[in-house]
Parts: sequence; C-alpha cells; structure tokens
Amino acid sequence: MRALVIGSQGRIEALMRGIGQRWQPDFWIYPGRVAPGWNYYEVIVDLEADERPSPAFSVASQALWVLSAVKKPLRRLLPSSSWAQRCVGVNLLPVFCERQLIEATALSEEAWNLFQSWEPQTCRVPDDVGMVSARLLALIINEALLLQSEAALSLETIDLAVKLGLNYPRTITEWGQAIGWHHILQLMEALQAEYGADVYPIAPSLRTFATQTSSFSSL
Amino acid sequence: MRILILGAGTMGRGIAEVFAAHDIAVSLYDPDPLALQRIESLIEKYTARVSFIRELSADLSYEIVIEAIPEDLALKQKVLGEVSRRMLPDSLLTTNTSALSVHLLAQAVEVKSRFLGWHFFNPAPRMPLVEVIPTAFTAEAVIERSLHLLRKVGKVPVVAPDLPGFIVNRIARPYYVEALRLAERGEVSPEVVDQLMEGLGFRMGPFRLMDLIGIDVNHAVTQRVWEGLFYPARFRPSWLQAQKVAAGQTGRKVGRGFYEYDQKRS
Repeated sequence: MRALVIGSQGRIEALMRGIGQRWQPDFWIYPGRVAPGWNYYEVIVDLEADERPSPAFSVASQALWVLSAVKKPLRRLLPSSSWAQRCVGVNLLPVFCERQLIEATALSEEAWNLFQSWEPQTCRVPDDVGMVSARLLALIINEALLLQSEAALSLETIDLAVKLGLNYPRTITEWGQAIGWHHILQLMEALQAEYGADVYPIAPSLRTFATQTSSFSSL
Repeated sequence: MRILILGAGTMGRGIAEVFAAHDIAVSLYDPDPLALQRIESLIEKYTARVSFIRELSADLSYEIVIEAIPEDLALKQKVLGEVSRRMLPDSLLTTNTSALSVHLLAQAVEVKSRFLGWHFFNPAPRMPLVEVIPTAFTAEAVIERSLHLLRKVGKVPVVAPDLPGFIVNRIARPYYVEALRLAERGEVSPEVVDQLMEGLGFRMGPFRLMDLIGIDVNHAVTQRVWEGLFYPARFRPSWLQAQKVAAGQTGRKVGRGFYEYDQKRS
C-alpha cells in the first residue's frame, strides 16, 4: 500500500528506527510547504495527531488514517462518528514505535480489519489515554521521581536501583531522554485530567525535566 | 569473619552463598526440621564455609547476623529482640525485610545503633543490588561498615530510605497495580499486557512476573506499601489479585495464577 507519514523530523526519525522500516512510507515534514497529493496514498500516518490539529479531517482523502492516539483517546480526535470507519489510533511515541509490535485501537471493525491487512503485527488495546505500555511506563517513571523528591535521593541512585534491582531494560534517565520528558509529562497530565489527581499525581521534578528539555520538544 | 543467617529459606540460602563464595564462613539457623534438606547442596558446594545450626547458643559469637525469616512483623520483632541480646558488643544486626518498616523492627532490638536493613534481591547470588536501610538510630560507622562489606562481596549497595517499599519495591508498584487495574476492567487480557511490555524489553510482563514472584507475595507487598503510605488511591490493592489469592491461584508455585502451568515441567 502507498503510505505517507506526517510528522516532525524527530518523530519521523524515531519511527524509521522501528516500524517505519516495514512501512517504507513517503514523508511529509510537518508543517511543510509542499502539500502532498492526498489521493495518491492509501494509508496516511499522522505521528502527532494527538498533539495538534491533524490535517486528516480537512482534506479530501479516502485513505486509512493511522493517528497517534496516546495522549488523547481516538474517540476524542474524531470530529464525528463517521470517521471511525477509516481511522485507527496507534501509540506512535518515540521508543514505543521502535519496537516491532504495534499497539493500536479502533472504533470500528472495518477500520481495524483494513489496518490489520496493512500491518498484521498489532495488538488491539482499549481506546484509553496511554493505551497500555505508555501508561505503565509513564507511571513507573513518575513514581520514581515522586520517590526521588520525597526521600531526597539522587537520580543516579534511583537509576542504579532500577537497573540492578529490577532488571528493567533502561534506567529512568534513559527512558526520559529516549521517550522525551515532555511526552511523559503530557501523558501524566492526560491521565490526571481523565481520572483525577489522587490516582495520578504528577511528580514536580517531571515538570522540571520537561521544561528543561522543552526547547527540544519540537524535534 | 563469621556470619549467622537466621532463616534457611530462598533468601537465607541465597545470601549464604553470596558470602560463602567470597571465603566467608556462614552458619544458617532454621528451626524447621526440613531446612537442612533445603541447604544440603549448598553445604556440599562450600563444605568448609557453610554450616547448619538448629539451636542458637546463649552467646552468639558472630560479627554479623542477618535475619531472613518470613515477613511477619511480630515474628521478626521477637527473633530480632532475642538475638540482639545475645550478640557480641560490636557486632552488626541486619534484617532482609522487603517491605516492613525497619524502624518498627528496631523497636525490638536492644542496641539500635548497630541495627539496619540489608535488602537483597532474589536470586541473591546473581542480583548485584542491595538496599541498605539505616534507621534514625543507626550509627554512621555501621552504615559505612555495611557498604564496605557488601562491596567486598561484589554487591552494589545503595542507601535507601525507610519508606514503604524502600526504593525498588516502591518504583515497581505501578508496573503491577496499573496492569491489574487495566485487567480488572476486562478490556485487556494479561497476555496482551505482557506481550506489549516484553516488546519494550522487559524480561517478563507484569502478570507473568506476578506468577513467578507469587501473587500472594506481590499482593502483600502492595498492601504494605499502600498502608505504609496512608492509603494513596494510586496504590489501592487490586480485587482481582485478592480473588486469585483467596482462590489459592497464587502463581507458578501452585501451577496456576494468571496463567496455567504444567507442574511436572515447571
């Protein structure tokens, strides 16, 4: 299938380290000067559909739209229920889009079947903030930072404990840098807005890290 | 140097091996009649360095005593209290508790300045990290001595606060609690959650890991952390996990947890 990927340069690079290699798409760096010929493509992937208005809903295209829907559920991205027939939501954040398995959601069987015929290595998950893995990982990182400030520990100590005591594949610092602290903060904010601050409190230092690296957030 | 380890269960055995492998003499104490059987292979492997004792003498002439008995506050306090009264004046007393408050345990100890937590991870011979948990009474020299000794036997000690779950068990809580919360709603299966987390490089997804640890053990740790932090909503223990415990489906050890296991093979 002919595929187009829309996104900022950094996000496209992350995608191409992982599943993008299978998809072999054309690219459109957003915002770009040259409008693509929408009708040429059968699949259009928007890596940042949950972060800014997606062009998906303003162009005449009958393509299958694969939208990043991890900071907002897919149902909140769609302007009307009729879009459910040709839109799926996928976790396309850095790190998550670099594994071979795709975490995705759909609001109609038609869209899901169409997506699976293009990308069979998928795991269907509920249409919820953070889906599954981004949610679990954001909470681990946030908890580590809550403990760090509560107990006045250094991040180095926390990282050592995570790596050598839990055998996790990366340390908190490594995850923060690879995913982007600002993405983790936005996930936590979305969870908090959806379910409340008592269940999803945000570590103050997560805000600090996100602010410090915000100048890179457009990458 | 001579070390006494109280309790010859999985952790006691593993900790004994850490020291024996570094030419340190270790005695394991356990009143359980079957305990000797469990450590026979260890005694064979380290003939001159590991011994088993069934009774504690009135005077314990060990430089270090490590408590590794079941996670029961009253039982631990009783044993620590008794042992602390029989120890050498400058010896060190440690607890391998994974989730109980070291301060609460210290209440029973006679000389509090030489008591602290040494939390090893399972399997102790292979896991490098040890959380060293001092109390407000622990002498600075005792902390330094602990760090020095643990480094000498190849461990990476980190000083951890005496907060519920210390560092590691606290940070790991959302991995289990949130996965259970998702599964409780019935919208996603344990298999899918595990597959996705393993796809990120985790050696085991949360449900497979809970089965390995023991769902009852994991549930108890969550319960203690939740209570110790004064019931924060984010750590509310899971009814799904409580149901599994009540049904006796506690994981691999019984052949059934979130998954089913062929006990002959596992």
